[in-house]
Amino acid sequence: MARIIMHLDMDSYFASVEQQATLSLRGRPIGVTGKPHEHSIIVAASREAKRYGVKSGMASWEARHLCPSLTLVSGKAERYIAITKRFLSILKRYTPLLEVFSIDEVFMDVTHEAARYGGPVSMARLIKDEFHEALGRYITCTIGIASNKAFAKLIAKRHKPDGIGKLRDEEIPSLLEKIPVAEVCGIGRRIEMRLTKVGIHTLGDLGRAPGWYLKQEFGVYGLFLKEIGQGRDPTPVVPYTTVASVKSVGHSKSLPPRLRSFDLALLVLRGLCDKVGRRMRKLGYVGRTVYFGFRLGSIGPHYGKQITLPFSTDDGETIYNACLATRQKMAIHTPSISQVSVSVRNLSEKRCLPAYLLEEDQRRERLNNAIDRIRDRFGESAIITGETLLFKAIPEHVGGFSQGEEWEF
Amino acid sequence: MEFMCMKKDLVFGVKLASYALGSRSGMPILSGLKMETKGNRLHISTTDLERAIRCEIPIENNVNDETAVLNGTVLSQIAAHLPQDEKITIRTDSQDGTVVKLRCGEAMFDLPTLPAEDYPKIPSLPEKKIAVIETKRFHNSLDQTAFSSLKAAETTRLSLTGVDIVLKDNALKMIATNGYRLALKKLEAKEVLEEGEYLIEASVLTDLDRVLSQLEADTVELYKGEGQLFFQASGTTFMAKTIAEEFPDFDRVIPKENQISLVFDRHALLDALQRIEITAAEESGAVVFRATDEESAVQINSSSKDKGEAAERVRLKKVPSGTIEISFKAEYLIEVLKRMASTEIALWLSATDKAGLVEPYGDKLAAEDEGFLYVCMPVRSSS
Repeated sequence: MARIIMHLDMDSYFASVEQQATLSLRGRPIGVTGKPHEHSIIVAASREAKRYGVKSGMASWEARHLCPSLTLVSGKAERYIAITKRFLSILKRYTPLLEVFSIDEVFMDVTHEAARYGGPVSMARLIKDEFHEALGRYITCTIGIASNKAFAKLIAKRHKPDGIGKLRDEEIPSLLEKIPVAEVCGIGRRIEMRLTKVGIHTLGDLGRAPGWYLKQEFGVYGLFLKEIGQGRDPTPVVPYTTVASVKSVGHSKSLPPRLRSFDLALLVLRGLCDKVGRRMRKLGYVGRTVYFGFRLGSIGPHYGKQITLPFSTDDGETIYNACLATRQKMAIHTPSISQVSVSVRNLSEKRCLPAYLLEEDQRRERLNNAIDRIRDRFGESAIITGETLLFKAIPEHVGGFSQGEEWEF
Repeated sequence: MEFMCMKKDLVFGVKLASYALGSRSGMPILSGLKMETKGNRLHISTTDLERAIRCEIPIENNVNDETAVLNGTVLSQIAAHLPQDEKITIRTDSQDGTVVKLRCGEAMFDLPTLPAEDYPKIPSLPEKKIAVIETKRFHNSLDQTAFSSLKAAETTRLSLTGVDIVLKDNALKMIATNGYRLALKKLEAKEVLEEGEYLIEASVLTDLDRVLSQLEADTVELYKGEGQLFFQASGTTFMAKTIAEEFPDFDRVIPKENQISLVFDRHALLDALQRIEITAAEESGAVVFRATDEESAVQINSSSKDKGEAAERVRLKKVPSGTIEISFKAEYLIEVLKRMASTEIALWLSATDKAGLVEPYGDKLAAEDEGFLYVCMPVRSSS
């Protein structure tokens, strides 16, 4: 029996959530950023802004240039997470085979449920209606239906916004010839370049390429490419319930061009580590492995290294020191760091650790607890480290919605 | 360079020196073993910059006092597999000294030398002798403390990777901690000539201990260097770099008013813990002790999600003076019980969230356990 896979993708998600929330933003071109300043990056553009060519990932000055009437809105992560939780609770009633792919994308295997709703298309229509009721008129989604994940996603993309696209298996062969390889989720720039070099441009080309060649060139991934090229994608929908709640806690931050010095990056990093520690303490977790990563230049490569500490920690400064230790391992001294990120993995519950024996550790724990209590009561910025204060003193320069942020649902 | 020596002497010297061979990829010269002929003695030295060993062996027919650096690993392997022959001859082969010939019976090796001028200078033995201790006691003390240090390839807290050596009042204290437990041993010294505190990496001291065990010397002398501590016994010198960090204030973490004592037969507790640890939760390794002031026994439990549960009643030598429930990481108790020798031990407790103190107990206290105590923090509330 052929599978019926749905790919549900929210349209201009963050932007439409903002428009739904604020009357004055409706019908206007808006761009959601970290902070509404010159150097921040657009993380989502409303459909009105997209008409001017504004795209996510664009610097806001560039977006302004394309669309002078653009309104910049600061992103509010909590708000989007709340809406995502709301629509996921609706979808869970339709099928248990639900894979949360990102904050605004979901895969569903509805092979067994579709018939009950009069087929996948009317099922999709029902879902959209229910979204309309629960989320509001401005928050819309597009649903792609196919017999596998990759093509459900492809067909959804072709029916944006606010659409329903169904791809029948008979239509796949002719479609393959039209779709460039880069359009498939998972085929990045570098793989695209390697394929283009040997004359593979469309999915059709990919399907005709000899399997042994793809295998030799890309390993196991080559076999996946071959399948995709023939219109197949055997990847299953991994149910949302099997995804562990928290595997890591991390934050990242983009640096505006004027401030891409190593010292500033470290300053920002210090603040991020503090935030990570705070969140871990809220969750009651400690972690042993600290990952520190950074990006060079605006589109440059991402470097990162991890270090496993002798004992788990939830202390921002310990995490920061661990980052510094990985930095020594990398031995990269570059002026053009455009993004820093830190995450703590290898998590366990704090109550599993013995209590601290040494006064210095006990003092730090008491300090962190006191800071947490102050922040719980007076807000996150009520008390910050000296380094972070330096970094907060120049907020007009620092923007960028924390893209590397990891979501929990 | 040209001399002859007894096989057993060279094997002995090379083996001793190999404990300080370096392996850092950035400095290949540290993989070298330095040989210097001086009259009828051969000086052998190695260093990885953290530690250094210098020893000497007797030689014959020395033609000239010279120096050569050979690959230490290769030499160790050769020393371990030499044929049944009494004597070895070593001779520089080429004019420029780049190859050394080693001959033992019918076996011949041509060994390339490393540039002797690149070999780091090892500080010489300082004049200031600060203490003399018995090697047997030192060995025993190190065994009872070093295991408590932080064992880590990567850490931001160097001070915890060390064993702190405190010389005071004609005694030596050795202390090690990983931040959750601490071992302290006080041993009498033969002499303390100058008081002081030295922090040395546990693994370096363990190597020193191995060297000392080869030497069969009764005592070892301590010398104070600049940023190093030197140990000398039977003509062999071991240099250990001190860690330039402050060791935590150990005295304040030792509980002084723990009222509840649980007195166990050491073997009985050790056996029980090794059983109960099997089903301890993976993440915490915790076992729960429950004692009441009504019964001379402790109930020890563990449970984990996937491995199951265990419970055992372990007899006490007397009824405890209070009621308590407390969790410990089983490993932390097992490790210390294994390293003690007394028949009876006491676990002194005060509260569920306060440190426990392990000490040898009773009149039949083993000599090895004298001056030993161990502090262990409980696992945070398992509720």
